[in-house]
Amino acid sequence: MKIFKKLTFFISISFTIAQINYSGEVTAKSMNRISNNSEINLPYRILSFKLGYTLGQLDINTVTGIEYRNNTSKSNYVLREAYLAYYPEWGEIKLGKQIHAWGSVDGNNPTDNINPYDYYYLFMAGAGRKIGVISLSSKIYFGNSHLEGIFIPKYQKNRFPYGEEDFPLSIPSKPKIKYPVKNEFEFGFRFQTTIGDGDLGLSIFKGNDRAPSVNAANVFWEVEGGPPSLESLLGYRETLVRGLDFVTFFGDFTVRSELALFKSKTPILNLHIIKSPLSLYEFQQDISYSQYVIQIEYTTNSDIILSGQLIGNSVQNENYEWYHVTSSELVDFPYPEFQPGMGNPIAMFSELALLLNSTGVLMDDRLELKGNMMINLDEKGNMFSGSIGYSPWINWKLESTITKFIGDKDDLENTFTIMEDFSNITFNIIYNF
Amino acid sequence: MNKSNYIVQKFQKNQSIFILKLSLITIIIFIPIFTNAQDTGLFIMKKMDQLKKPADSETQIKMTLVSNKRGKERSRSRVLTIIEKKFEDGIYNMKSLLRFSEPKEVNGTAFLTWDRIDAKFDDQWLYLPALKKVKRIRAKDKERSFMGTDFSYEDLSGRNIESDSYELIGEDIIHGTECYKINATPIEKKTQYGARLIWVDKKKYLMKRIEFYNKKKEQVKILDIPEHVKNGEYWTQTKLVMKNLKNGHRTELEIIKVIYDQGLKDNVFTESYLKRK
Repeated sequence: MKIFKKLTFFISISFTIAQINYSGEVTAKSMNRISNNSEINLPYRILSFKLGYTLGQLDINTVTGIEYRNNTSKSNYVLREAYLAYYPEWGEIKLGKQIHAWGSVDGNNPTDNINPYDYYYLFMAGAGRKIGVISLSSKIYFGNSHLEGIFIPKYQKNRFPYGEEDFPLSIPSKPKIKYPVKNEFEFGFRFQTTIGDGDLGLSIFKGNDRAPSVNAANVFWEVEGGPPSLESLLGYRETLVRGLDFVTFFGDFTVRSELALFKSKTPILNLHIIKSPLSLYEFQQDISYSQYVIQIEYTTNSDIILSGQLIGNSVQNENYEWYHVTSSELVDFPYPEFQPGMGNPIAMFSELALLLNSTGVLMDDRLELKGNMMINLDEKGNMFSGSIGYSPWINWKLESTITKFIGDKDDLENTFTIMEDFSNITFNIIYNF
Repeated sequence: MNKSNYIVQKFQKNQSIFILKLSLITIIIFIPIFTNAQDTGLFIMKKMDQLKKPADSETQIKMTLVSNKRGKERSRSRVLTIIEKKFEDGIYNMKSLLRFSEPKEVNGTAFLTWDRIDAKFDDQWLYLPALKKVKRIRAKDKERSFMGTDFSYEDLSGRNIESDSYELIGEDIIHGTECYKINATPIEKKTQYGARLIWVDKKKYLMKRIEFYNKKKEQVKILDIPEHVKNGEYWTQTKLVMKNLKNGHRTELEIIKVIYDQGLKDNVFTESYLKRK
């Protein structure tokens, strides 16, 4: 009874001296094709709610959301983050489901691979398109430097909108993910220091690809002696990412840059999980590739912010072989097209792209104007976007965005050609609380 | 780039100076000193410069932008909290953290500034909740508007006392207070202003008004500081109004809450706290 009283007393005191804070956003959204005004039926977050509890150096934070589809009126509750944070004098410790952010550029960070992406929200900026991972993270400060370590006990993959007819990118029907990852545990470290007027970051992350790739294939010969038919079985490569990022200033220009070097390897199949090895051939791939982003920002005298990002990726070295799982006999099967399983999502459809952005705010923050352009330098393809936001009352905002994709008429497989039908006009009514 | 990103990027250069000197404007502390009629402008300004500042402070401010079009006023408010601490380690003058709480769209957006003694520019970082990312940012020119307000960074940072010459040109009554009227003319020319007229409370040495003149000697802005409250041994300016005479726009700063000398630890001024609400 005494213990109960003490506990009750402690809890009462805790709630008395603790601070509870909350904030959130309610959004009503419509998205229609420019071509025929038909509705684009994809889910969006109708509600996002942050709830925090602070007691001294201890925080409990949660971010929840409700995902909603206009066409079916179905909603889905999502726990995006829920973690405990402790702030000792030397730094911080966080435990729970979290969204992390590494790197120096504004979005499209090749060095930021801790969280998988939610492809339904691929066109959102920042944390909105990431999926929280259960992790333990800690940051230690010393002088003008800090070291961060992140440990993820259970690997998590990207969320792809399989079977969504309205999703613009060419994602095939849900593939067979036959083989789980070899090692679920992932970890990463990042060191950041201030040098002169800028910051320099070095990072390393060891984990598994967030997107699947070919791991094996069931092989059939429909005609004896004829060409083989391959049924691809997917898995997730193990990938080591070494990252470098920095921020520096040249006069009124800010330069941010990131470089990530990926070393990716297909895991060797565990024979215990193979049920019918006779027709099964294993694909072994050892590949090194890199991704980089160079971002330049400038603010005009009238406070219009202009920025540009050059985004590139390339394969440095690759080795692969097909062999039979039991006999180890090498065979000359075709090489499946390489798709990076980590890094900048734009690398999925362009090897070299230029992004240009401009933002301006007028009328004491009531009116916000944005313009964006993406030029695919790899092959033909552009994206243009213009947005106007008006806040008639405090915490309310009306927003309209028009987005236009222009591909290559002569190339129907071109990603931007495929996305032309996704050109859309969006209306949002947003209330922040 | 979202709106919070935009708003906060407008708030860059000399921000630590801003925060330090916002103290001068918002929490300036003057020690009452007996003066006589022979006080010169420089003597009065030196008295004002002999400020006793708290070791650390936490100030919550409501900032209201008021526009006037065809006689109709429209206003827009922001609420922000500034936490700052003086350093005496020979490396930093001051570290500060500024966080917006309203409007809700920019809630949680925050700046961290390290005012280094030996550096031309401060070290500054910006936290954008939408990105969950801390960004290193560059300070802006002093002449630029602070976040779309009628204050420029220079207005908020003030000038070193040696940067101007001062002339006591008379006495006046401002906000019901007897004041000295001082003309400040720049010696150090890196300023947008050609002159400033400063009204100083004769008894308490509190600044009550500044009129700003451009280099063509045209009056461009007026800063009024009608209210002061004494918290312990520190005077706090509880309201400031900056009027832009060119466009009829004005900015009002209202101190909602201020706490001095909490004994803030150094780790408050790190990225971890920048992200913490």
